[in-house]
This record gives sequence, structure tokens and C-alpha cells, in this order.
Amino acid sequence: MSSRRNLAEELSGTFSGVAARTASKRPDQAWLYEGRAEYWKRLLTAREQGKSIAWVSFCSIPEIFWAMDIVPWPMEATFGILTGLSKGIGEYLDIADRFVSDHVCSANRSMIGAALAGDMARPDVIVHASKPCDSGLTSFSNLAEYLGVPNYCIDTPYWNDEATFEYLTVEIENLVAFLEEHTGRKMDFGRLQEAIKYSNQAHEYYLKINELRKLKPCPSPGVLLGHNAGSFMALAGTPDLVEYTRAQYEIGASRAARGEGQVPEEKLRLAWVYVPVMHDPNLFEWLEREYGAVVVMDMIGQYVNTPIEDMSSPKKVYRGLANKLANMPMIRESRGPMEYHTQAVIDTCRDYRCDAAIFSGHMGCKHGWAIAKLIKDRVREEMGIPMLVFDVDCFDPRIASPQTVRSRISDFLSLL
Amino acid sequence: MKALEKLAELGSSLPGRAVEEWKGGGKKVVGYFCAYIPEELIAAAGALPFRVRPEGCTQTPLANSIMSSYNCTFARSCLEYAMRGRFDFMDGLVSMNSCDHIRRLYDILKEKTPARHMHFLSVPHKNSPEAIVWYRRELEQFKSGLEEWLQAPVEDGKLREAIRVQNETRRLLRRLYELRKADNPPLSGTQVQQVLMAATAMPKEEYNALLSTLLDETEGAAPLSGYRARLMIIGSMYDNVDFTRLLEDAGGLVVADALCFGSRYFWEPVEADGADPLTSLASAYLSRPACARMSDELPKRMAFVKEMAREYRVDGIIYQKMRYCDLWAGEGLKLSQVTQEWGIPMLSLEREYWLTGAGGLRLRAEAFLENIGRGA
Repeated sequence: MSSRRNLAEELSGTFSGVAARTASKRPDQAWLYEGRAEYWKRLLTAREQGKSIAWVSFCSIPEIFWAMDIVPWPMEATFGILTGLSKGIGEYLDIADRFVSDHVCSANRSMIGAALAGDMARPDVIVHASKPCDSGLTSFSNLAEYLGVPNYCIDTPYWNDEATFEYLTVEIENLVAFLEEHTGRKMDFGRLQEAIKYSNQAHEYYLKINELRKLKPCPSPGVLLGHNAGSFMALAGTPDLVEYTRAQYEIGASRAARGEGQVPEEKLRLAWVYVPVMHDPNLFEWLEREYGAVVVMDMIGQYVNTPIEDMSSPKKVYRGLANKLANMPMIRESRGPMEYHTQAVIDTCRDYRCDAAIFSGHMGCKHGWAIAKLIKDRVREEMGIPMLVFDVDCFDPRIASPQTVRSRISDFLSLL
Repeated sequence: MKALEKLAELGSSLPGRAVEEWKGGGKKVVGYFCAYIPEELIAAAGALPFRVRPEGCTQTPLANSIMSSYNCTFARSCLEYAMRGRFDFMDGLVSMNSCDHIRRLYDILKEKTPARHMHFLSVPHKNSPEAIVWYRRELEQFKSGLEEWLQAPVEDGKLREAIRVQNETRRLLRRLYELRKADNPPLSGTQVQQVLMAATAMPKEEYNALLSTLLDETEGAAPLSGYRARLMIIGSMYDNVDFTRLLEDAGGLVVADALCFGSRYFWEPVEADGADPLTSLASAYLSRPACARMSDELPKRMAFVKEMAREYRVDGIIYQKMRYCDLWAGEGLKLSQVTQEWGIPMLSLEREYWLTGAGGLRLRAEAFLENIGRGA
């Protein structure tokens, strides 16, 4: 009889081990894993510490949860990490496929499979957003109902106008009421202000990190983009994220001051304008090593919010968080008119002075696939640069293996 | 049944005689994409609401040059027809964030197909007081756009009248569905579906008259018998009469549904005399038996399926999902749990917009009927 996995324990062990090894061998890089090692430990011991657990989608608002002693467990990020590790997520996809079609996003299907396998601590609540995609919407709500766990969907309108932000503000107010009702915890406004303060500080560093990445040569590695996204999804609102972004900024600034780039000779600057290939975590390093090509920005690592200045009342804070939510990677691109997506891609290519763009067409993203060709055309027309579009399941290597993906990219780069 | 023949003809041709006559009178046609868009608003503006369906499309070479094979064949078929000019009779087009395929299809149509009046509605994914206020505002903007385009004010009186006419359609369709509760109903599922297809493709006044006649004609009709099981169809957008015919040829009798072209389209009336007709529309449309796009309505959605199955004494449920329809594909998780609890067998089928692999589908349907039915 096979023993079941405990994913929180597995990931806590992985991150603690990597953090310890890094601290011992590369103390200057210790910041990279310390915060997340601490996060997984916090999740693993949440029950002992008397805290609640929320399974959340990557389009969530960690600050709210941390302020209420609820540990947010970002699902897509979890399975994005797991698929890059040795045990992978294949068994979870197989379980999910007995209930839902295989074209539903594999990040969501692996969540369903792991939940049905009983490999994750049962949450007190499940919270997700109605966008960026149908797959997330249906997977989270069905899983919550299946498990009998209270579920809240943050309804994210299509537009980007004042009414949208007002609507989202009320959605966030209602989320807080929902969390209070179902966890028995009360929102402490002082703690929320503190979480926002940390979030603001981290964002200020992050905006500066983004500025550094625009430099030629780019002083920071592409691989950090994925680390950044995972860190923001879990740690926004904690001092750990401030420390993480501060250290990253200082290293980048110091390299930039010396005129150092990530690679000895920066031959190509790439914009990775869709979901990273999570099952090949070394892909960006390979691009740097083999081609002198640096991924200077990607879609999910591009957090570009303005800090929340007005913290005078809960309503003002929720309004700021509404802005943040609407501008989150992928919600920003994928929830509204196509122009939101194309403009975001063009802005990235222009601002980061890219030579080419890569659109890793995750087969779960029907909205992205529908307009991939139009985005490619627009990038060529407005920026004069090529964009590679290829089929991949970013979480499931059985669809297109890392070797297949690298081969597609090699063919593309050889033509530049 | 002459009325049935007329309705079947009107619902299966594109654009159909009724639309041609309407256009012949110099009036406009507005295509719309989803059952959450109130036809009443379009009708009150003096235009004909026509639910977009690429009737008869079986391949999409033009659309494939833009959309991906990961997009459903309904969306691609719509694009194909738009690119081929088959939808040119639509003077206006309104869409919404129904699903990832349809909202992106709107983007593409806006960019790639001939100019027409176009509008997009951001419809909430939940039914809450705030969502109703939001949707009312969206409808107000839609109404303003129609008024400006058609140069005709849409007063509350016109809107109330359109709601009354549409409520009459709903009342008549409920009567039609009542007939299906009988052990031996006078109409097959295929015939009822033909009647339903016409509802969104012609002026409602004319439709109501034909439907009334049909209801009268069914009184003398010979009841159906010899079927092996009473079936209910649920799932993705479904307008393919051939698919229903296949199920019935295999020995089933489709007596109920929870489909956006079926019961969910007309089940509940809209308040016609409320203080504000736009609020009445927003509230009624968000409250109707829900599509899988409505995140918070999942328990109510399941309750509706259960109640329909009970009322219509369903022996088995056909859960059909269009390939790449994530919204309905995800429902399989909860459906598998509740149908087991209810003790109702369910056959899960994945399909394309058009009927493909008919032999295989028929085999699966026959095996399902063999398991649940009373024997041929």
C-alpha cells in the first residue's frame, strides 16, 4: 500500500533544505529561500499555532489573510513548484481526470487530484477569483462544494473603470465578512495597516527591481521572476517579502552600478509574455547559458502596483487592494478586452527593450490561445519584433517535455 | 402538426424566413450571444433579437487561421460564419463575458469582421445585491447605445411591454414542458428542441402565436411510446437537434433539460410592473437557473437539476460538454457526487459543436440506455 504524501510537509522540507544549503554555501543568496522556507513552516504548523488555513487562487489578496491569522495557501503556485520537483504532479492529474476533462488547466486539476487524494490539510475556507479564467472559477467552486468547505469567489468585472474598483472594494469588504463568519476571526484594522505597510515597502523595492531589469545589460537573472511571483502570492503583507525584495534590489543595484549583466555578453533580451514552463524551472538559466538570452520580464512576475497611500479607514485600504487585485499579473491581462492583454505585452517589450517575445501557450488558457495570433501580429506591427507561440502544458510535462520545449525555442532563436 | 413544421423550419434555417421578412420591412436585427442578455431590451428598441448560432457549420478553415484548436468549435464556427459573411444580416451584435471563448470571440469579431453596432456587457459571476446594481448599470449603458444607434428612445413603457410579450413566451414554453411530464408525451425531445430553436430566431409575437397553435394541435396528437428511458440533458451550450435525435433513435426519450437553449432560457418570468424595468431585468436574469459561469450559484444549479429530474421522472442524465468548455467540464466533479447521492445514472459525453463520431456516440448512448432503461 502506497503511503500518501503530505504536500505541506514535503514543500516545507524542500524549502528548509534548500534554504539551509544556500545559507551555508552562498550566504549572500540566503534571502532567496529564507522567507519561503519560513512560509511553508508556518503553513505546516498552522493548526498547532491556532491559525486557520485558506486555499486560495493565485489571484488573491494575501494581506487580508495574514492580518486575520489565516495562512493563505496559493494553489497554482504550489503545483507549479511541485511539477518542477522529482515527484511531480502526474498522480494528481490522473485522479482529477476521473472527474473533469483533461483540457481544464492542469494547475487546477492537480489541486483537485491532491485534494481528493487527501494530501493537503483540509482548509477552513476556499477563496478564488472569477477571473482570469473559467478553469479556475469552476475548479475552485466545484472543489469547495465537493469537500463541503465554505467558498468565496471575488467577482472581478471586465472593465478597468471607477465602477469596477468600487465593485471590487465591496467584494473585498464582503470577503472579510465571509472570513470572519467562517473562521471566527475578526479583522484587526491595526494589523491590516501593518500588513499593507509591509506590502507597500515590498512593492517599492519591486518597482525599483523592475527598473533595474530594464537596464542593458540586465543585471538580474530570469529565474528570479518565477521566485518573485511565488513570493508575492504567498508573502505579500509580511516582513519576509520586504526582506526578500530589499536583498534582491540591493544585489541588482550593486551589479548595475558596476555595469555587470546577468550574462557576460547579453545577446538577446526576451519578454516571456505568458505563463512560465513550470515543469522546467531551469529553462531561463539554459537560455542564458546557451544563447546569452536573458528573460528580462515575464507575465506573472510583473507586479506593478502603486503602494496604498491612504490607510485612514478599512474602506480606503480595500479600495487600494481592489486596484492591486485588478492589476495582478494575468488578471490584468486576461479579464477584460483584448487591448488590456496586447497593451501589456507591448508595454513589456518596449519598456524592457526586448529583441523578441515568447508566448508559451498554456493549453489550459483558452482566452490566451484565442488571441495569441492577434497579439503576435500586433507585436510585430508595433514593435517590429518576432513572437514565438508554441503549445505547451506549463504544469504537465507529459504533454510537451522540457526537451520538446527547448527544441522549439532553439529553432526560434536560430532564426533571429 | 402544421405549427410544428413551421417552427422547425424557422429554427433550422439561417437567417430564416422570419428574419428576412423582418429585414424586408427595413428593421434591424441584433445578434446576441448568451442567455444572460435580455432580449427584451433589444425588442423594446425596435430591433429583432437573434441568438447567434452557426446553424449547419461543420468546419472552420477560416476561423482556424485566427483562433486556436484549444477554442471550442462553437466559438470557431461563429467566427467562421462571421468571416464567410453568413452573419451579415445582423446589423448589431451584443456579447458578454459568458466564457473565455465567447468573450475573446467578441474581441476578434470587433477586429476582423465588417463594422456593425457592437456592444459588450460585463455580467457579474454572482447574484448579489451589488451584482444586480452593477448589471443594471451595464444594461442602462446597453440601452443608451441602442437608443443612440437606432435613434429611438426606449421608454419604460416599451420595455414593460417587451417584458410582457417575452413573459407570454415563457408561459407558453412552460405549458409545452408540462406536456413532457406525461408517461407518453405528445412530442419528442427532438421536436421540442426544434420549437425552442425558433424562439430565439424570430419575432416573439409571431412565435407566441405559432406556439399557441402548436399547443392546441398537440391535444389531438398521438402519444409517444416504446422508449426505453426518460432522459434529461444538461451541460454546455447545446443547439444541435441531430444530437438529440441520435439519443432518441437509440431508444431514449428526452423529457427535460437544464440548458441555456432549453429550460434555463425561459423558466422564470421577469417582473413586468416593477418600479424600474431595468432593475427587474437585471435581477431576473441574474437569478435565472444558472449557467456554470455563475460561481456562487453552484448549489442552486445542482438543486435545479435535481428538481427537474424529479418532476420529469428522469431515468438518466446526459451530461454533455463541448470540448474545451472548461466551465461545464469542471462541473463533473460535483455532478458525479450529487447524481450518486440522488441515485440517478449519468452519462458524461464530450462532443464538438457539430455532430462527429455519431457511431461511437450512439453506441455509448445505447449502452447507457441498456443499463438504465426498461428494455426495448
